Amino acid sequence: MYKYIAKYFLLDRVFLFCKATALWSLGIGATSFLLVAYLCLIILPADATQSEVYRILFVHVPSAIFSELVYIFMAINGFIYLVWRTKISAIFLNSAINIGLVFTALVLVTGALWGKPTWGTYWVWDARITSTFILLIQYIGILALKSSFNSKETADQIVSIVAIIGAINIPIIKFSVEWWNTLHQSASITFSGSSIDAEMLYALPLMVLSFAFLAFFIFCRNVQIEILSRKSSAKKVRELLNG
Amino acid sequence: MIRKNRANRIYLICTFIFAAAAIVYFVLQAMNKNIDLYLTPTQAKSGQYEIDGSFKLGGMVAIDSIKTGSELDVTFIVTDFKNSMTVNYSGVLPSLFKENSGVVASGFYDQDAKIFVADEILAKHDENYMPINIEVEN
Repeated sequence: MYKYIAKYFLLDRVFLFCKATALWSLGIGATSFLLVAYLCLIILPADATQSEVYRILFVHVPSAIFSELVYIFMAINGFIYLVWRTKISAIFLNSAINIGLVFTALVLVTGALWGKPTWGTYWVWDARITSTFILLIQYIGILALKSSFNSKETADQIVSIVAIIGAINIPIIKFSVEWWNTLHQSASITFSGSSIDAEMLYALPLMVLSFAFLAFFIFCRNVQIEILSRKSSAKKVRELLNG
Repeated sequence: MIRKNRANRIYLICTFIFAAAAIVYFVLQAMNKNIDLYLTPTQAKSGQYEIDGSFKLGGMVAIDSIKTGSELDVTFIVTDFKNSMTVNYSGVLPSLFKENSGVVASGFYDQDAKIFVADEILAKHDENYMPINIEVEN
């Protein structure tokens, strides 16, 4: 089984796959983002209590989802790398860091901009906001750690360990609004249904999807850079770029 | 089959995760009271929390309890449906502040007047999102 999976994750093969799909992903992502943004900003009705401000939700919620999903992805890849020593997992881990960082920064900024007109403040140190802020610091830390070692192998191992241990923060972020009294509201969309009206809700998965395509574009480019930077000689780099 | 050294690494990582999770759990348990952003009226009255200095009080604004005084003065009742506390505030209210909706007030409890004197009011938005036209039809 191991050999069957491994043959699809040969570095050169992944490189060529990323090269082929990246621009398609950008095209689909950018187009759908513009269309869905038009839908969210112009077509959808205003909210009954928050009026127009609620539209920040369509950036805030997808960013929040990805800030956590990207971290889980990093932790899983870190685990696989530490156990099986597969180079590609370390490359995937390293390629995801800055994407997660951007999404986490975006969720904090949009949340602050939404907080001022609705709550009356940009920032409070409640459990949800503080734990998300910690996630931002984790991303910054891992990004700094990544380039702090002379040997790539040492860096990969250390980054993997830090990513795995830091994953403890993810359930804390998720359940912070239930465990403690927070200013942040509890989840609108749960397994038992949604408290966002259906008339507004359908735009949200579309936005999540277009964010996914945009993120995948950046991820592909990061993977390409990572693979090239790990090549031992200029000749091999040239072969890969032309092949 | 997973080779033996790989299995050992899995056990090692799982042990580390478990240990780290346990540490985080105990730290959070120890800080439990400080992580809550606000106290509900029931918590504030229970005597388990320090309410001599300033603290944040949170709950729902009771229906028909908002009384506006002169200028920006406003008095209302914060309730968690078991206990309630009267809040006095002077200043600009956030636009989402209204009856039967969540609020977090920071200030101090005046023991003699039995009134919570707030210097900042934050509105708490609930998780419900409704288009504006449906609200009008209702």
